[in-house]
Amino acid sequence: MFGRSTSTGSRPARANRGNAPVAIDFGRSSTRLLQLNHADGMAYGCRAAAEIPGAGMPGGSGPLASEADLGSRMRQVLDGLGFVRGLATVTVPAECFQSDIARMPQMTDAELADSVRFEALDRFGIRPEDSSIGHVRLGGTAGGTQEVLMLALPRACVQRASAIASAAGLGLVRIEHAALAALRAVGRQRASECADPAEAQDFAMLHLEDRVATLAIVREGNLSFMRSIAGDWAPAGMTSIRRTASGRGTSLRLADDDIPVGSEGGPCDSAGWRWCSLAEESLRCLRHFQRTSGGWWPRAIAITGPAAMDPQAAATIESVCGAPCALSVPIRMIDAPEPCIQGNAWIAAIGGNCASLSALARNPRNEPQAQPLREPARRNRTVAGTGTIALEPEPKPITTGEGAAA
Amino acid sequence: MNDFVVDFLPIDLRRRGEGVGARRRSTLLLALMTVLVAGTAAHSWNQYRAAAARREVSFALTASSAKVDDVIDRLADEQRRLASQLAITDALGCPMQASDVAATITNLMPERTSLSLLRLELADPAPGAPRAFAVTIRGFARGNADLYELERRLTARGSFAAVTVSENAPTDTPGGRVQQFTVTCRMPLEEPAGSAAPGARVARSGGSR
Repeated sequence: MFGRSTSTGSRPARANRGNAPVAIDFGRSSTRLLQLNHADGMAYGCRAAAEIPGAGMPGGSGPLASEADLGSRMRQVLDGLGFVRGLATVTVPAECFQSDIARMPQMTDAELADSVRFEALDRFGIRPEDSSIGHVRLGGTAGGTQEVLMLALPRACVQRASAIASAAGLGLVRIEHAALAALRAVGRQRASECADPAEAQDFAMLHLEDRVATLAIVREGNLSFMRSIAGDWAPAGMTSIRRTASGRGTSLRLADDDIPVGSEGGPCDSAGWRWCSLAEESLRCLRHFQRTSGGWWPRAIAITGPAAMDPQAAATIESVCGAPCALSVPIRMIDAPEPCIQGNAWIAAIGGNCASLSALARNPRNEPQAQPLREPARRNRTVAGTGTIALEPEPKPITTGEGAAA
Repeated sequence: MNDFVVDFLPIDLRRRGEGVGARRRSTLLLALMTVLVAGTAAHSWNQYRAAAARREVSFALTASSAKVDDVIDRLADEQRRLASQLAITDALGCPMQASDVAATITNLMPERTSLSLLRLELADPAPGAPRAFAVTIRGFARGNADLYELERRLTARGSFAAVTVSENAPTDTPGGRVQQFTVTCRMPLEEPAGSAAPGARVARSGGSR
């Protein structure tokens, strides 16, 4: 069965009247539920949010809960926390997908769907009855050809997600790639907060999950490149099950085109080494895209995802890739969020909700400029209300009234 | 950024999910309609009960109240009784005070005349004749001249009619001889149209002296 790439042109306006469908984000160790509504133009209102322990998809940490058990727990949470039950959207972690980029001639959407289907079956070595295949056109056309991102999701994951949603009393209407949902949220946040609108159209996003990092490049507002980078990207300090054993023995086979990086060869204890390897691989991808796009380079790199907790990752990638890099703060998109919404782990759930809501209004955010190290010392020369007199670090030229007059 | 959605949900599962939503909407709509119909039915039933109660009360009031013909007959009887009582009152009642009549007659008597008896009787009127008092005046006069002066004054007075000296006889008294007389006259109670009330005329004549 083929997935569908649909435009959301009129959907937000239609769904704006009430709450968005319940977004279910199947994480590696927990399942997140979120329902947003359109409170005002600057931020989305948060109707309810909850996090249920337990992996929703195969390959997660800990035992896999049964569909009925997880569905019944989800139903209790939905009833107890004030969710408006009805429709639901699901985001599945990137490690469940196989992805690749194919260059194809220009063709209509129907022809492209058929072509992508045969190409994906050939490249991924999957059977059509066991997979759900989706695609999206990348960037613009060049020389009569176009690049298409092909994604394949095992049918078992789709069936499991549908069964859980049904057990929870929800009507499932959409299953998405977690990184693509996160990309939607990051794109909307940048479109709302970036002072320069052009800067919001040209950026790269690194979506970090425990075992797969997804690099997405957005050029002129269009997704132009996406690569999954396998590795052990779990934050330092996680449990041994989640931190080390998860790196191997996954039940889901990685795509042939995925690049194994990190702890496959041995134990990896250095977070810095992991971020360096991820940054170098990201740099290779950026250079590849630079060559194919005629010298384009992202204006900024946003890091997000469940594993994006380490500020050292942003610093490492910024120093290696040479572009401003920062951890995304998706909580700024939500007005009065629930206390459980913390960190970048909720970015996919927010993105899943964003598809049913209209874009945020412009709210440019003036980021404070980084001050030179000597700047605070100079400021301390003045005596503030603290009563502390700072010594002058530099000799001060003697000026007299006569000299000044001369 | 241009929004796009890559959906991996197969058509059959999507329809099933949308069916869940449609069933939920249908259930809510059905519940809403049920509540609406039940509420309307309950309201209609209450209105019917209230109307039936009001109808029962109105029937009870109609059954317990008197008929219109009876009421009219009773009112007619009361009016007849009142008319008869008024007629009796008119028949028995005197339109003037007896003192006024006595004062008027006393006023008309000459100086050497005294009054010993004054009788007012409601005379039986003849059919078609107006009612009148039959006045009998008995007294003493010094002489016939005074008696005739009294008769002339009564006659000259319009309030008295048929003034007649019925008795006139000399009587010896310790002071001398006087004339004992009896004068009868009639005093009509109804005045012709346009004239003042008899009592008022009697009072005016009494007050003019």
